[in-house]
Amino acid sequence: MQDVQTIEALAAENAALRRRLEEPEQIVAAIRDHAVDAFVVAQPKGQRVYALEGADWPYRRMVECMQEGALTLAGDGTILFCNACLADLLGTSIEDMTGQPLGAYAAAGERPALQTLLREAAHDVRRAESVLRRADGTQVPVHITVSPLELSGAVGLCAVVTDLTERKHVEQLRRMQVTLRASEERFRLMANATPAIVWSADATGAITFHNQRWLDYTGLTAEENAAQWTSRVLHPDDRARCERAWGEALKHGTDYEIEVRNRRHDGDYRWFLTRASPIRDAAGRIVEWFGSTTDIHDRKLAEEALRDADRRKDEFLATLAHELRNPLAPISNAVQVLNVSGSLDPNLRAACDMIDRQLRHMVRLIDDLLDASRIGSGKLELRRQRVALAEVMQQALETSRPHVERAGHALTVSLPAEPVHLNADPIRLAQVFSNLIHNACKYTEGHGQIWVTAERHGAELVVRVKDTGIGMPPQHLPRVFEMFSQGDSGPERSQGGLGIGLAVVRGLVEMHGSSVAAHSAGSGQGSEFVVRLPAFPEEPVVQPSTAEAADARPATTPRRILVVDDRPDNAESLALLLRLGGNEVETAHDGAEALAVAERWRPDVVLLDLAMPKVDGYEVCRRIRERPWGRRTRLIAQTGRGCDDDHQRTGAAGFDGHLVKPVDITQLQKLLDHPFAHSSD
Amino acid sequence: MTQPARADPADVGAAAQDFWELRLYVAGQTTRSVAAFANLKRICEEHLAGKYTIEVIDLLVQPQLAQGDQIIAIPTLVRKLPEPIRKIVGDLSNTERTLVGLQLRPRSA
Repeated sequence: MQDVQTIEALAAENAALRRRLEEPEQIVAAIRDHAVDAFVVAQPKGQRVYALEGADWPYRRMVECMQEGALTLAGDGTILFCNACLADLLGTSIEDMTGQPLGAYAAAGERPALQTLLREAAHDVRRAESVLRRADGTQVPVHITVSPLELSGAVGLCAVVTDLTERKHVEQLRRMQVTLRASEERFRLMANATPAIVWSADATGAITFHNQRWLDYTGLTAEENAAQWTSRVLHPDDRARCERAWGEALKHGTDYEIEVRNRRHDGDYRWFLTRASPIRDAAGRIVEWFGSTTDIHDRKLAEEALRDADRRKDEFLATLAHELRNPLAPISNAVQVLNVSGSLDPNLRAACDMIDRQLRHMVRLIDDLLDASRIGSGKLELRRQRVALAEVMQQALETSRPHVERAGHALTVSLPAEPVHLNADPIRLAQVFSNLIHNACKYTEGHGQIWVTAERHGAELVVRVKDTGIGMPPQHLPRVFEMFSQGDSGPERSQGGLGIGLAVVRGLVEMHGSSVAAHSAGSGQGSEFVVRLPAFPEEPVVQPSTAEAADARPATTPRRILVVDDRPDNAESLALLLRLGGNEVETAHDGAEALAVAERWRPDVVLLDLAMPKVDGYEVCRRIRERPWGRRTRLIAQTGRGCDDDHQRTGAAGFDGHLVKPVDITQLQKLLDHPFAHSSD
Repeated sequence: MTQPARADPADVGAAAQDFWELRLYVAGQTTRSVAAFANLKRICEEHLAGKYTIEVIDLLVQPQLAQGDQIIAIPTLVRKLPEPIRKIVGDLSNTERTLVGLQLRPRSA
């Protein structure tokens, strides 16, 4: 038993020893097979690990230190080792990565390509771009180089991962630049293909581009143009203006627009319209200017020709009126002589009256013509003042009365009970109303009705001129104020006029900042013209004394009058008229003669024609005023044109009065009767 | 977890165990350490898919942990579960021997 026990015990001991021997045997076998490469050695201070592969350490350090991701993979893609750089890149730790399949870090959709890459790399080096996914879900573009790696028996892989984020940015920038260059190139092609001239400038205003069409026009090369276009192309007279305007546009960032002359390659200058607008960035800063330059030479010439023609037309009208007025003066004087002489037989008297009426009508037509041309060219100036409506209306009625009476119309005038004052040129406003009344007379059959009504509506004065005349069809209303427009059939066709009376009305009303409108219910229904004027706020005004108006005309005192006119008919007929009034009259036919007569004869009054050859009326006036006796002499100008210029100039030159030919004897008489300003000093 | 009563150290039935707890001792990234991990991973996926854990212990970092399992050579794989504890020394490049060592396959000898 003992033996059996002993044998069993020995066998068990043997088995235990064998098992204990297994580990050392394994270790020895592993060492022999090169399957282990490090050992743990117990030392007094504890365990210590010794690796057999000390020679590898520099390389390991290098892998750890390099700025690219490095990893070793099992053949199936499991991460066996990775360096800190890769862990950082993927936002995780080496520990977490070890043992994970590399595919777990592939961005969505990238996994299949990555697996293919790893599979192929088992045989040969493979390189590819891919996208990895960070722990936080963001993506990292990478470049991966994978090589096969002999791992003692097993096939593994080693890989280097390069972060492409930076490089991607650079690439994106480069692509943008390429796109930009392509778009610039397209712009240039387009700019050069267009028949227009286009250009660009930088924010400082320096020209950066002028298209081919401009270079063709100027004959300059692009380089010459960039450096010298202002000196070689721009007209010297336009240069300063152009630079100033461009400077203003740059300073304020406003659109640029100018008309300048540019020199063509053959030396001719042509007119161009140049426009430019600023291009701004998102922050509103100007980054560039784009401009176009258009040849407007032909248009400019046409405009100039048109302006020239218009000016010549106005000049012609003025000259025409002047020339037509001149022969009227002696006729008018002669008629008045006949009237004053009295004791005409009834037939002669009737003929005389007719000549007088027709003469006044003609004067009126000429005045309208002259006014229309001056309103049209903006040469008419208003002399506005605070004026009572009643006075203006009285003047208008005085002028119109002969027409109204002759046609046998009944004229009803109603004005506001309270005085109304206007800021107006009294003469011109009276002309407006008299023209309207005259117009009503013309287009109303004999013995019609005309109403002139003025009403105040708050700050506005409304004046209506209404008649029972032929009226107007609605289609005529819009054109009634146009020049040379006339109703189809006036009952007094002989007095049809020029069709400018209403044009003058509208021109004058508009100059007063007011409006005029025409109304008619239709043909045969009469017409109504409504003028709306701003009225002065009414304050209690002390009515000016009406003494002057009420004064009986003082008995005319005989005077010594010198009549100066280079047209003998004018001078002699006026002299005849004045002599009939009991005056002593002499005549002179030019300035020099006038001065001589005046020096010798010392007249009380000199009626001076302004336009005379050699020494004109202004000069005669100046020289007379230089004489000691000349200061008391009453000097009255007479002129063919009722120009405001003349009125102002004669006042400034020292004249006491101004008459428009043909001279109205009552007006002249008024001037003569007025107390002598200079003598009263 | 209990061993079947008649379980022999050479019992092939070990593969039928519920869970395998494995511990691999390495020394940083030495070639054999890296290879051992790669080989172990492959073998586990092939034979123990879904029912194993591998704990990698770097003795360069924590040398004192060598004492517990009395590790001498590196790499060494320790089978903690199923019991009994078994050690396999080396880089596990010999798959056949590894399988036998883990008792996933009977000794052919």
